[in-house]
Amino acid sequence: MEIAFVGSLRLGVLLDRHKQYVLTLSVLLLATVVSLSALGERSLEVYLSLFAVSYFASTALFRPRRITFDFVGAALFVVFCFIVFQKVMAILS
Amino acid sequence: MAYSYLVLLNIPFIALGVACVIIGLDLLLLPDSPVPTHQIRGMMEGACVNIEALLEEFDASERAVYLPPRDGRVYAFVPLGKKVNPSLQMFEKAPLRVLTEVSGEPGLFVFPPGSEVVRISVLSEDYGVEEALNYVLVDFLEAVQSVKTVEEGGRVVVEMKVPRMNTDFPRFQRVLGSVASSVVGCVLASVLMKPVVFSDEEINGDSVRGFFEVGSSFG
Repeated sequence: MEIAFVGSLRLGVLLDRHKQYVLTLSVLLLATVVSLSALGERSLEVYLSLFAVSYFASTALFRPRRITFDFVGAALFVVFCFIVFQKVMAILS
Repeated sequence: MAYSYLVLLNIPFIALGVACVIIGLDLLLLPDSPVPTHQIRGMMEGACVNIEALLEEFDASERAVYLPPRDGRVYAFVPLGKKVNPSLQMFEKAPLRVLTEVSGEPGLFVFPPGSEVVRISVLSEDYGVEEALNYVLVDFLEAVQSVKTVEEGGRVVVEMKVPRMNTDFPRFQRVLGSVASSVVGCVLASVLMKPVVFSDEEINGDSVRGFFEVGSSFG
């Protein structure tokens, strides 16, 4: 545990914010795919929703600079809203 | 055919593909060469040497007044005599040269290292004080881990956690504050568009607290 903590501190010192961000996002997305597929999840919507959550969490944490508007974030947000809207409509009807 | 059947009908594979696309597109949106913060920090600390020499030469010891940008650059007035009342109107009349006079009081006009940082970071006019400080010090310069501000009356207290730039220049630190505080002074003057006096600084372990007094626009 202590070794992991020291390791993460060293990683924070060695890697710049952008590298930490890409690494964190990759780990989160891979962990999402591995854990959901291990649980036997067959709905792509669940994967996409968790991708969106992982993306926005890592973006909020590391606040990376971007050369232009965050199209990926916008697309994920639209997809997430669409999925939620569908679920709400399904519950209401 | 078998490949398409295996991949396209397998939801985890599709999800993995989408994850790769997200990472790939996101990498395209990140700058190729982000600001080399270590070099910038080194250059900023190096820039302090000249100011330290200048302050030492003129035996300056009074606290500096950070002034709103003129030609896009924030500059600081260091009184050589007694402390001056910081009103913008007074400073605007003063000739912009190294050794100058404001209301008959001699002083120095210096461009602190934070002046250029504020200029190249292109601060938005919509930014509030804390937002601007976070943008310049945490996001752009990565000089500190976090910034908090408290404004009361004409006084602004800025608390910075884990400063990553050191100043070994006693005169610079006494007159303009540490490098991080100096950048804070520049940001405050730029955002508030008023003269800002660096009044004090407290260093407690991993946090630095800078105290600033905001002057008036008109004297």
